[in-house]
Amino acid sequence: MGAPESDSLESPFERLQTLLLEPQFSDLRQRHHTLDQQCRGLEQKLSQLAHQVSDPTALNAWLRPVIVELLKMEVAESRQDFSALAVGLMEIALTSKIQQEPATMAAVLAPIMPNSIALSSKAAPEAMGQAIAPNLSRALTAHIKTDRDALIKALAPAIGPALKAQIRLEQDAVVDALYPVIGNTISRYFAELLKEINDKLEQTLSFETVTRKYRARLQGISEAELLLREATPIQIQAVFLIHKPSGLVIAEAQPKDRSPLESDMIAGMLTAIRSFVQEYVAQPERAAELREIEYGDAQICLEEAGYCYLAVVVQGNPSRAFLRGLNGFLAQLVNDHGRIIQDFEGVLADIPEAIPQGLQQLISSAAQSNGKPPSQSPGLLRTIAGVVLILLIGWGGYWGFGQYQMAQLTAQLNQQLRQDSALALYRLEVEVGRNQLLLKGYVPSEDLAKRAIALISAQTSALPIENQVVVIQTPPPPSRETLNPKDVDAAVRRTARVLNEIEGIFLSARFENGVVQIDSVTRSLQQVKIIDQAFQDIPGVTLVQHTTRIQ
Amino acid sequence: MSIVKKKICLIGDFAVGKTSLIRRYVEKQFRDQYLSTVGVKISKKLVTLQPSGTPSPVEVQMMIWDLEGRTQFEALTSSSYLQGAMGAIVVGAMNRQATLGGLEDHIELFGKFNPKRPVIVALNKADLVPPDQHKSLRERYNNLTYDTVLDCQCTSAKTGENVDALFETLAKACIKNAKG
Repeated sequence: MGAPESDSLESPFERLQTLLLEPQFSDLRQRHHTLDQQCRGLEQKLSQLAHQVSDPTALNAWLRPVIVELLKMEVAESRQDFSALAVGLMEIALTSKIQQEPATMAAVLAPIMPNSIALSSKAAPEAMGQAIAPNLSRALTAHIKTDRDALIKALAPAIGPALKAQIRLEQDAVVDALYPVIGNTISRYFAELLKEINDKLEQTLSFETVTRKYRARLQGISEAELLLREATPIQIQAVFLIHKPSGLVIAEAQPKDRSPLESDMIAGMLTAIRSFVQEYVAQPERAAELREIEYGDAQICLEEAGYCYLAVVVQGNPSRAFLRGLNGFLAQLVNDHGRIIQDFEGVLADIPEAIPQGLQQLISSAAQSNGKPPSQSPGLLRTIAGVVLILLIGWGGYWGFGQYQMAQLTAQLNQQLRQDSALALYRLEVEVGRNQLLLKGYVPSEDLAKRAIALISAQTSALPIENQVVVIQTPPPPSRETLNPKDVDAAVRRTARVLNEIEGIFLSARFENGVVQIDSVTRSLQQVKIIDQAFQDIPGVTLVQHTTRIQ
Repeated sequence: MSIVKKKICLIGDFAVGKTSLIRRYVEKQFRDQYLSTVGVKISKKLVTLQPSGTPSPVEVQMMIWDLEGRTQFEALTSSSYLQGAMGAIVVGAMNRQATLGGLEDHIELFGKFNPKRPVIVALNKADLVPPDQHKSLRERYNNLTYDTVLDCQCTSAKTGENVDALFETLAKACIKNAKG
């Protein structure tokens, strides 16, 4: 019973169920089908994704928009965190990249470096200065090693203005820095000047020079120094080393045998006067200084250094040498004690003893050098020198007159030789020898040599004559048949040239077919005869045609 | 005892009594006759002082530079005489307000040449002003805003009031200043 009941019950239930749930089941089935389809689609997409992940290009294309979007969101929402993260990453990335590829990174950064430095210099000049400063000297040193000329070219235009600016700012420091150099230069110049004076003195012969040489030798000094000493009869009354800015006396020295000068007041007023001159008299662009103040036969010489100056009260007229000496002295002083002088605050205990001692030595040495030697020179020496001088003058005059006479005589004898018809063709000359006359030259025959000696002997008998005439053995004259017309022509020309050297004779000669045609101007008939004879004697000349004019 | 030399300058308008103060201090004299100083006049005074904090007395030779009086209307540049000074007394006349007005110009000028060197203000001719005004004037010029100004004193070259103290205070300050 149960089963049919149940079947009967189930059937209606099922029918009811079917009636009630069938639409939902149908819907569910439909959904199930859809889900299946979606699952299949997802599976396909997953497989695509798997493919894209394994392919970097595809993954990059797929992820890029997402990452960009994410980054945008992150930057907008937490800028600080992102910035910190980015900075860290960049630092790591940059460090790594620079280590791996320094050249590439340098090339990448190079274009922005100038601008970056320019901007930094403008924005934070002090920081930039501090950053560069430690390496500046190294950079300069390296640059000098690699390209010294470029650095010199770059700096040269600025050095002049820089020096000027430095002088404007710290004139005293510049002066002190240069003072020893300039002082030494001047000293060297002066030493050369002394040498030059000495050289000139050596070349000059006079009585004064002789006695000066003698005195200088006795004193063991150079002659120039002696001259300078004699030219500077001065007495130093006081030497003050004065602090330039304050006018206070740093050190002083005065001779003990005189009443002392009021150093502090003098120094103060001198400083005031110097300031006055600099301010109201000197042109501002020229660093001119007051050099001396004269009063009566005395003067105050002022020698200036950077932070101090030397005032020397001198009686007499100090020479340049003396002033140069002051210059050198002050240069040495500044060199040795420059810092103490610069920092002088009026405390005398700070001044080393060497400074006043130096000033005292200056006075002592000047006093010694002023000891002008006695003007009276030894009388005997003066007399001997006078006699020697007179003898020298007498001997010189006699010797000069003799020389003049001999010159006249030789000129006359040479003139005679040139005018002799036979000898005029040959180079014969009379010279003055040691107490005799020398007859020199070349002739072709012994007869001509004797003729020359006879001619000279006839003119003078005052001095013996030494015959130094050389007789040249000439070859026998060629026969007329063998004579070459060219040789004859050359002989004619030579003869004409020799005759033209005789005073008063001007001639021209032309040789043709054994005939010589002469056109001449002469002074006498005798000269005409000499000319004719000379040309007739030439071998190969058959006829001489002579047209002459006697003036 | 070693000697310490100090250059001290007196500056101020004309006819405030700078020369009279120096004469009173150096020569112990006073003259009513007014003689204008041309350029500069230098005086010397040797005194023995014992600045506070020093173990033994110091002999100070003061070279006192009396500078020609100037007013603030004149050019203040021609003052190279101030160079190297170790202290200054800036003087005004109590009976001439204009001269007191120029005190600051003179202090500044001195400071330009000698920064950090001590300065004392002297209100001179105190004998010509009723004593009840002294205190107020002194207080007024004692409070000048300059670090280098040590003091302001009412002085009279005629009576000698505060004159020695004026110079000696400055001299002591100069010694201390040099040591510092």
